[in-house]
Amino acid sequence: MRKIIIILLASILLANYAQGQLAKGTWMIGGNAALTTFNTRSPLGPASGTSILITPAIGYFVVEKLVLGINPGYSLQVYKFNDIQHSNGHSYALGPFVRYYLLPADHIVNLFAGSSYQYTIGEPGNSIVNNYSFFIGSTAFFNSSAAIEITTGFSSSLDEKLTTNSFVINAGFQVYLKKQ
Amino acid sequence: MKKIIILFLVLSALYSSSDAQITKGNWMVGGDASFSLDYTRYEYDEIAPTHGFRGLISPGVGYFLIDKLTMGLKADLNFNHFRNGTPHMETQFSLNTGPFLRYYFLPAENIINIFGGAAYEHFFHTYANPANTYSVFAGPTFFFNSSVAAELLAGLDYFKPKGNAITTSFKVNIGLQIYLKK
Repeated sequence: MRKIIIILLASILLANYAQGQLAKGTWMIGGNAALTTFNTRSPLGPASGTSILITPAIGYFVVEKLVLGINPGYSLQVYKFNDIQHSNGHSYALGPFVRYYLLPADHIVNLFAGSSYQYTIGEPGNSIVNNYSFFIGSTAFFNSSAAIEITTGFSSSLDEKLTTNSFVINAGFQVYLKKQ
Repeated sequence: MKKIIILFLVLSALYSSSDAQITKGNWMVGGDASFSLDYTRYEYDEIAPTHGFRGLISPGVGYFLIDKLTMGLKADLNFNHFRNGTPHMETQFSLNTGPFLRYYFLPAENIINIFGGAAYEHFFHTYANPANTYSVFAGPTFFFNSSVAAELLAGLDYFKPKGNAITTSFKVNIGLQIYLKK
């Protein structure tokens, strides 16, 4: 364990050839949009449905190492079985996030901390969910545009009927687009 | 519609100074992983709290065997260990994995390109029947720089579990794709 910590600290101190991905004016983008429509034939009867999920994430470095962004979202679910509609709902979401990188901007391996809030309203029923999260993480830049990052944090979702608290670890790719 | 196609082809021909991300020896990568420990408390005491440990791992990696042709592997691993107001914990596990093939039709140096491909996935689940999914897809891709592209993928899936049910679906995805050059 001690060897792993020493290697990690050495990597952080020595890795100082990043290419300004955290500079003012850089964009941090991610997310996905998906539409699926399906039909099922089975001995129990036909089923069909449509789902839409749009979850972009857009951030902008307002100053070096500090990014502010938004997490909008839209979802739609329609499902029928034996020609009877079993679900038909959609929801809208929007909220800000903030992230600050703790090490010098020229490091290939960096650490960050941040927070986010998202407000979701769903129909039918006009249900409202508030989601708060706080996180820290590390990021390693492959090149000037792509990095792999690990995030760990705490998330809380509240609506009028239930509260869900979660400890979360995420790993994935992050894209940075530098201003030209 | 004809004007849009002509405009697309003209732009593809004019913007031809990309860094050849789709040449032999390069990699196409994507995916994410997520783990959570959660606890849900209900407003009404009649409903017992629920809690669980959940994980989702979805890697995808492709390698360009020759210029413009990539072969790869994709997987979706999902597990849940949870209690929903019952005395006992439940465990569920599913894995959907298989190979894919993708070919880019326009010259490799084009910033805007068009791809087509196919994929196969096999589905395993703790309780549900195993299943096979056969997919074909195509779409345009736009390279922001040497590593990142935005792409639109339209495809057809044919899902066949053990038994008599068959599901066909049409999907459209818009997202980012990362390319790592050798």
